[in-house]
Amino acid sequence: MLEPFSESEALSLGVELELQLLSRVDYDLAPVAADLMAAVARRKHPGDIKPELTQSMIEISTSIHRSHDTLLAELREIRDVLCETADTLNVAVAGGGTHPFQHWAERRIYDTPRFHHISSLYGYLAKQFTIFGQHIHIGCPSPDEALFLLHCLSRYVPQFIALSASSPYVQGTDTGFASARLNSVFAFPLSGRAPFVESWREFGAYFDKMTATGVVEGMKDFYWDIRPKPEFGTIEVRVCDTPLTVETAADIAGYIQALSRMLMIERTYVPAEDDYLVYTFNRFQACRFGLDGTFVDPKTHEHRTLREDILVTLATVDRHAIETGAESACARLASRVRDGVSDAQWCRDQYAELGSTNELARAQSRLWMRR
Amino acid sequence: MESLRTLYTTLVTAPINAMATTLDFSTRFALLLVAGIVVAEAARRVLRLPRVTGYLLCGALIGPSWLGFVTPEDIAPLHVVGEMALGLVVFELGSRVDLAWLRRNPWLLATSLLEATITFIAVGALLLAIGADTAVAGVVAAICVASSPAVLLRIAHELRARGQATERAMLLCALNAIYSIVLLETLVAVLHLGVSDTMPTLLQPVRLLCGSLLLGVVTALVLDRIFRAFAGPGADAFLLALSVILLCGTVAMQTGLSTPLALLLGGLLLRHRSTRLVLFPPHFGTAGGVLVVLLFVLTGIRIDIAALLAGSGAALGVVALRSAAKISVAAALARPSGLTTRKGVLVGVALTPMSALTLLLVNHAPLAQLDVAAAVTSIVVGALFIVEIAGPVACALALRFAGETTNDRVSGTEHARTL
Repeated sequence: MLEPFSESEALSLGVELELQLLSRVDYDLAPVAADLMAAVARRKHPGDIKPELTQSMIEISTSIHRSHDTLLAELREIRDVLCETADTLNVAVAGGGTHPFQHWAERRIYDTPRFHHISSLYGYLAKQFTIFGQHIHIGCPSPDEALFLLHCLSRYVPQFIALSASSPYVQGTDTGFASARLNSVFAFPLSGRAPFVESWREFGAYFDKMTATGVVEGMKDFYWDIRPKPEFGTIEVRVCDTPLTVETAADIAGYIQALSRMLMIERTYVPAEDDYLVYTFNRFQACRFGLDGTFVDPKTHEHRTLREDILVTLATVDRHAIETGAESACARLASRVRDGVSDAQWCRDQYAELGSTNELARAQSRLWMRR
Repeated sequence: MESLRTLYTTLVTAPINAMATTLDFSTRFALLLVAGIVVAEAARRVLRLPRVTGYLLCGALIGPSWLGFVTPEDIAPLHVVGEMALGLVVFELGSRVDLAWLRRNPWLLATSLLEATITFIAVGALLLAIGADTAVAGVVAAICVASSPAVLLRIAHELRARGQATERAMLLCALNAIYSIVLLETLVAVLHLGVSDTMPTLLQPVRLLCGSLLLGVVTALVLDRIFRAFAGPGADAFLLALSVILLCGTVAMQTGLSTPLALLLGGLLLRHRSTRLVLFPPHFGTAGGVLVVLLFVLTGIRIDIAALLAGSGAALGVVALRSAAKISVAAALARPSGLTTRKGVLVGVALTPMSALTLLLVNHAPLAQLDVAAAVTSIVVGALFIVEIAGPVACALALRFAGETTNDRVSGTEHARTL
């Protein structure tokens, strides 16, 4: 049975970031999550710091915010506590959607029953799932509104991918993708998009049919790009790579919040089943080419680059960004897009300069830890 | 029984001994290597022991304690190789250890200093209590401060261990090796002063320490240059690095400096000074690996059951107290240094092995000239006998219990159990 959709304030905002834990010897992933959790538990900090699937990942999450400014302040505070604690263990922390050279066979699963269950079910996929994403929660006043927003935001999923893409390197080589991380997500049987249903009643019916097949037990088993989170009364955008800094992470969250406000208030965009005809094509273009990828407008079928599409959207969102306090965040994103600055490109530049993926991982951790 | 022994001697021991005396240097080298690797593989497959224990057992088996195929005199020409191999190992350890960690977490420096001090005091006090000579007690206590860089590094490589317990044990191990060498040098010089009463003997430790430091600095600078010239690590850079390290070892031996001290400091300084990551393959690749295997076999040959029996009470006490000191300090300071007490205990256990470095220290020339040498050797070699066999197993178990080893077979069965 689908749990009831909790109440939450419309457009409230929360962020989760999965982070890499690295050894300072060679900057490979290090199985230190349990030690870091034990050390961090003794310190006061806002938000939450949680273990993730493997021993070399950790997840930080914020409390509920109304605007970009307080979100960023909290993210910075959590980052500082985490980095100070990591320093005492001589562990480095880094952003980025993939680790540049880790070998999946060496990953160790974090010791909880759920993680061991996932590991035994998915086998090597679970270890290959040592990837690092940013999840953004947007509060919705009602479940139907949540589904409306979910299908509207699906049109913008390629933008979110291109803006956050920070995973060009996998297992020591340049994949040619801006976000190679999502290729690992697509390997899971229940990944992709949510079914096109517009009311919570219909969604409940779909959910009941799925649970009756025995394939899923709860919402947690769906690895959709955007999924409703009835427990929080939010929808959760899950396509973003963890950016290389908390600042970029907060900017992207601020943009999605402003965009959601526009979609919910102006209601000029009407989602339709046929929007999804171009969905996987657009998503692939964004993963592969980032800002240079081709975007096919689902309504007009017009082709343009994602860079152009993002700049147009940022311009139309302007008024709402002022309302939600994401004005400066959107301005920073616009200038990044205009100048062709992206985390994926930063990784490639660093690799070209430093000559090894170990040095790249170190550079990523220095950027994240501001060392 | 007696006739069996005679038969064995005539059929096996005598021909082998006859053969052994005619073997040249490289044949001995090769035979020891083959024997070590074969026995270690068998020990691993049948008894599930770490390979290090296998190498050591092989040495003990063919050495004077058991079969007597090889005597310590036979392997005398190989001592240079053994010392080089030890130098290589401590250099590798040094290059992995991050001194900046001590600044980030001063509790680790406290742990290190306290661990060494308590070990020294506990072992010294025990020996005094059972009536040993003050000089003997001091020298044995100084030697007991050091852990085993070779065993720890080899086990960590073999189990592909990574994590807090592994990294901390390596840091503490590198530091206590330095303390132990410095302490021993100073003590021996003071003891010599009592005998010969001349200034040069007092200057000897100063010369040795400063000289080794200087040699280490030069080695680190040369290696840093090499890596920059080769634009990062690569097979050729490693080979050249290996040659430079061996050259440094030779210089140390020729000039009467401490090979392990010079190379340990060299490794630490290279890591500390280099702006780029210093990444070596385990034991600098296969060439270094061969030397390390030989090091353990040679160490095993010197295991002496007679020495254990002679000083068994003292040796047992020393091992027990030394282990207790290291484990209790590591456990007591675990929480303030940001670790759980349980993992602190495991760090302490990983520090309990003694091996090649201890043997090198006990055979240190200036010490051998003193009349306390025999008493010291008897106790330390006896203690070594116990720790050589149990140490690597304890160290491996500690890293396993810490959950820091990569062993797919083990984790596979764990997953099956949760299903």
